[in-house]
Amino acid sequence: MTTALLQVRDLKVHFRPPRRGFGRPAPAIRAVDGVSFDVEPGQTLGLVGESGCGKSTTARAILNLTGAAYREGEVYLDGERIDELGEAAMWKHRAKVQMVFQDPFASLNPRMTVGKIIREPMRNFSVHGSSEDQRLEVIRLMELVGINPRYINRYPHEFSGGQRQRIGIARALAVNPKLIVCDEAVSALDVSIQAQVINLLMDLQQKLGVAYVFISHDLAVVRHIAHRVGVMYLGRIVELADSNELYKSPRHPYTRALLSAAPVPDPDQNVSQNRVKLEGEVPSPDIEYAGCPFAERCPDVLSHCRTTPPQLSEEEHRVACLLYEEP
Amino acid sequence: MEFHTDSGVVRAVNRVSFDLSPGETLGIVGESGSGKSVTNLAVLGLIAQPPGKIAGGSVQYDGQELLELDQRQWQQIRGKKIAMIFQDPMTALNPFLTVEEQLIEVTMLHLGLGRTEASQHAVQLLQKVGIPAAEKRIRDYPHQFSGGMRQRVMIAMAISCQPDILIADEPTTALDVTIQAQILELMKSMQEEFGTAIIFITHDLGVVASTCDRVMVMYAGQKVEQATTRELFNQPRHPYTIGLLNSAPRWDQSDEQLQAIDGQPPDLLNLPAGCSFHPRCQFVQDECLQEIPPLVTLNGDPPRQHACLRDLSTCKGGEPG
Ligand SMILES: Nc1ncnc2c1ncn2[C@@H]1O[C@H](COP(=O)(O)OP(=O)(O)OP(=O)(O)O)[C@@H](O)[C@H]1O
Ligand SMILES: Nc1ncnc2c1ncn2[C@@H]1O[C@H](COP(=O)(O)OP(=O)(O)OP(=O)(O)O)[C@@H](O)[C@H]1O
Ligand SMILES: [Mg+2]
Ligand SMILES: [Mg+2]
Repeated sequence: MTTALLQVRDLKVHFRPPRRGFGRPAPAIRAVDGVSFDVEPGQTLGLVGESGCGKSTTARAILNLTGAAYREGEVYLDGERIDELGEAAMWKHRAKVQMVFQDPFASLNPRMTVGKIIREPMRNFSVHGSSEDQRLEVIRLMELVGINPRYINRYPHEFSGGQRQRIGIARALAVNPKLIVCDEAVSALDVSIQAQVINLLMDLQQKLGVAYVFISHDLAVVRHIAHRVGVMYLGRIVELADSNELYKSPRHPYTRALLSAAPVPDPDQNVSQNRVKLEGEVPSPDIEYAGCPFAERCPDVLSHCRTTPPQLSEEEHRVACLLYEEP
Repeated sequence: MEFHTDSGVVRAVNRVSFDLSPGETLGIVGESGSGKSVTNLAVLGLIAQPPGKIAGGSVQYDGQELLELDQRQWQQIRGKKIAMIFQDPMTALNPFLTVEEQLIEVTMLHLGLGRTEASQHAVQLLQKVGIPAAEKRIRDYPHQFSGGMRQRVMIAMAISCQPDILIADEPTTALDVTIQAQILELMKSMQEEFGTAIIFITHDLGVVASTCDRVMVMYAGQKVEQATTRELFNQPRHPYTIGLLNSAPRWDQSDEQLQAIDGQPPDLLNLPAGCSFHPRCQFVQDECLQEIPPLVTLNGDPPRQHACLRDLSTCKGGEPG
């Protein structure tokens, strides 16, 4: 068996709020609470799930960018453990893993021109040879993501939201990484440019074998780009399966609710009819649940769901739900 | 609306007109960089001049000319009568203030609420937008929130004073579909209760289809089409709109290659002669290279508009009729 490009094992990231005054410290926010998955070379893993369920934190943890947060678990890149590496040792891996951040504006240096921003990783990792080669490569990348190279000397604030997002993508592509973690990388793009960027990403995968971890709220986009899809809920993966399989026969009640709420671009098709509506409080990540964290809102809840924690099953189509566990 | 840059004048928005009635939802869709945000920032007087410049035009709200207001007069309107959900939450929120401080500031200023009252109001708002453990999390700073949670803080802030007009610039891009559905319902109920008019800028055609009464389509700083939502989806008349509708991926279908519109987005410093869309248009004819297509208004209720020299009324997303 070949080793996966990226292996994440039982990853946990908890944020401990600062102590306010005396008394008991506030409970930690269990942003990621036991996540495991593999990404094979040249494959795409989609990650979807409720807002605040820990997708961005998982992404940041892969690149060791979670700062002072408490963390547990293991991350392997190309078979080598990277989660324990310090800044300097991590540096040599940075050329292999790049990230497109969810917030394009906050992740682009406002005092650097677009040309400099895209070129910076090439400088850092000495790729594409001479300075002139690098300049040509910057221009090529700008064209690839649909930004006119005439704007090479502009600053981030002079671009629209979607244009900034594409600058972030161009920067991630600059060093030919083996893995790109894309956090909502195409969410600010109109569907035509989005199609263009997605086709570009898939093309690069075909030609260069890049792998992606692709986080998105857009279920349609994920279906198109991902080979496998993981559904997260409250810091955990509740379902993980091949993309087509997941969309055709979702098993976890949360996945089913999610798919049923997706609007379709057709005003005559009424989605609200068969929408599984989630009732009840959105659960809080600072509580440690004894049973299934989705139980409070689950339309198919069983009597023992609140007390027995479900385990992610070991089949091809993995699901963490007591409905499918042998009693 | 122009920007004066080192390399020339960027005409980001060019002669765009639209109107909005109470209780109505107008969708704005269009290419990334086509001027959707700039149009609405200009409506709210939020474009720094320079480098920006409003070269002409007028914005009327309730009989008042907004472009002539001074800072003090704006205070009475912005945030209170007309509120905006910004596309970029991280830059719109103050990183040094807690979420609570930012939320109560607005209602204390505009609704004259006391501190405690404003605080309670703020917690309720956060619950309405689906933030778990709102009474605790409200004391967090924006960077401690996830992308979608920040977006919901902005939504809460924008609706906190029940504005007459709500401008929502990509308000749900960072939200999963279940929370998105909840937010859309919240906006709808606010609309029904207070007659709020909503301008909804979004790339999500599914959201447009399910929420907007009318839709305006922008390309290269211009309005190229406007119609009711149903008309637009069933019978688009501008080739850009047709291309856009064909590009939409659907989660309930899986096809290999997505259909993008060919060619590069236009260069605003150097727009092509004639119709700005002609280099990428599949229906292009000789006249399109010379003549700038006028915005034609067709009778109807409400009237629909399009700016194309070709008559594409009988085709649907494919060959010209
Ligand atoms: N620096 C931080 N300090 C404290 N809590 C944090 C911090 N960063 C994230 N969190 C919390 O961790 C949880 C998960 O956040 P994360 O950003 O990973 O969510 P997400 O799945 O990416 O959500 P979204 O889809 O809205 O972007 C949230 O409750 C968030 O408030
Ligand atoms: N300060 C500025 N200086 C120069 N050009 C600018 C400035 N701000 C915006 N622009 C340009 O104006 C055009 C319109 O920008 P706008 O932000 O309105 O686009 P948009 O339609 O909202 O796009 P998106 O969907 O990507 O958010 C863009 O091409 C952008 O590059
Ligand atoms: Mg996120
Ligand atoms: Mg915008």
